Amino acid sequence: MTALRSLRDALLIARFQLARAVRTRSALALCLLYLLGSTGATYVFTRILLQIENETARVLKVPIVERPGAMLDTLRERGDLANILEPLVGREDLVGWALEQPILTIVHFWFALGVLPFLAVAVGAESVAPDARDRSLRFELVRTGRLELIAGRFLGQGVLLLVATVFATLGTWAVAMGAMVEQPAGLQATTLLASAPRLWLWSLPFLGLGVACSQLTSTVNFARSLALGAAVGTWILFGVTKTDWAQGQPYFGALLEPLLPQTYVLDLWGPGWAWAGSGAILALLGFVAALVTLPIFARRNL
Amino acid sequence: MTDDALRIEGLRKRYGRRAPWALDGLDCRFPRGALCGLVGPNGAGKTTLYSVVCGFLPPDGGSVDLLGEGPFDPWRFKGRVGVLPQDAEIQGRLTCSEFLRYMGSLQGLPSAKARSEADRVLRGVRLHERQDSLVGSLSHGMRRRLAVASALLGSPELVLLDEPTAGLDPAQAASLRDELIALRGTSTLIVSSHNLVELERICDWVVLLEQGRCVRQGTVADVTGQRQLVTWRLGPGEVPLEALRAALPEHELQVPSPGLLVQRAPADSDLDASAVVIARELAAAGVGLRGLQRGRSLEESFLATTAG
Repeated sequence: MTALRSLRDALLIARFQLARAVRTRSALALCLLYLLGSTGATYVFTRILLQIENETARVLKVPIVERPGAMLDTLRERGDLANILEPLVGREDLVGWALEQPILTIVHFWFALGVLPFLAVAVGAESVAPDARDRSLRFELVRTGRLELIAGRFLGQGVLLLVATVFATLGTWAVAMGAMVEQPAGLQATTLLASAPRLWLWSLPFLGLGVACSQLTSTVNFARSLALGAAVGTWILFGVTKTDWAQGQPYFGALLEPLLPQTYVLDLWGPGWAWAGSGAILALLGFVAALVTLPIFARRNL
Repeated sequence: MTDDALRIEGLRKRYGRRAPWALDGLDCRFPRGALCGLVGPNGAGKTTLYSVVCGFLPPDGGSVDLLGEGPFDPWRFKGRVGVLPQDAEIQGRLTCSEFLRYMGSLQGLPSAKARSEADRVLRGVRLHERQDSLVGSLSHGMRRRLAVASALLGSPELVLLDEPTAGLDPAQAASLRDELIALRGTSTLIVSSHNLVELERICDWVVLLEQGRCVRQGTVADVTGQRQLVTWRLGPGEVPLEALRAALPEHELQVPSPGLLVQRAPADSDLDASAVVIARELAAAGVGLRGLQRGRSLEESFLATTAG
């Protein structure tokens, strides 16, 4: 009963958070920013690919093309691309899956893997701090608990990120249709849409870090800086776990690695629903990260 | 069920280890169903008290007993305690109605009830015509009234209002006072204000704070001495002080300046009967009566009790 009441409150707060994001146009700003980023990144990729293909065509003395992708498709069909990717990725099954995807889906995926964590920490950092600053949180805190408030804010910002993640695939799809050699529109759309939930799950631990930092301060910029530092810190720690020193420690890696989102990133690639397990762990990591600073938040004068 | 809506015992709070105590062993009580005033100079601890009572701030010691059920817990007191925080802003991008419906839902009201309650409280604070206006487009006074409306949503058992009339024009303040008076008996209201004339007019019970301690509490009549102190303003002539003291030996009678007689009666004495005796003696001595005042104003009582 208590859990249901808590869930009801968290959902109410999430809905309010979303409605406010729409009303303040911060949702629109996030969607446009992400859309422009993914569109720009994939478009730049097509220009670079065109240049590489045409340079190769000049060397091979074959006709140059106006739209990129044909040479890449040939490499893919002959298996040469697999030979290039296998040493980079390190897992044969993932390379096989990647080669079945339209190339811009993979580019979009890579771009989002790099950019989404930073968007997510920025969005998370805005979840509590501004309302602590103007004390508007008090109207909610007299009616619900701090745990429910944080869970609701995390959920609301999470849904906002999901919408932005889906929305951003539009730009990549448009680039694929307009700037590449003939691509199957349906396959391009479905693979892009299928990437959206995986990317969203990848962003959740970073959203959680942002929400956690937002509970520590009433200054949004400070919360953003803290959250960015924490996000970068996860990459540094992940790098440390891969060092010879860490490999030699009996517990260091075993304890730390399961807590780092980077541990699960490769599992998000691949066919079927194999990614769902790691995705669930990422979602859980995100929620737990959002609650890490709750004991401090619970003692704050709000 | 206790007779007190709020009982505070030995409450302590300070903002930092070396900071002075904002609440320094505060003991006070607020009777159930009463309209209570919380009075004190700046820094006396009024807002800190509200913050601790509502759980915005953890205390360093002491106890808070709300409605006889212990300290504040948002689940136990969901919808039963309404609060107007002093400095809290309302999100500007919502309409008045949206804000109140959200607050109503969050305190557990079903959707339809939240809507009807939002309508009711908006009418109560005379903001009904602005229900679809964005909060950001309202004046300061209107936002204040909206915040008061949020505290009254769902008719909570206990309502804490921190400076509810601050920034309101006289007409708005009077209208809000009427709204609060109408709630007397149904809810316990605790109102902090620097406007002592206003509090004296509407309150049944008053608590005076100074430096984080309660220096006086009781009914307004007790705190202002209306049952014990009478000031007589007299016309020219010699006051028959000896005759008066002989007639009322248990009363303390003084003439602090010409034309003024101050009477301090013992507790539980009959002031009306003593007034008849004094009036008779004055008439016999040929001293005219220009007026009399029972007790002091709340402001005078406050100034006499506190250092300020």
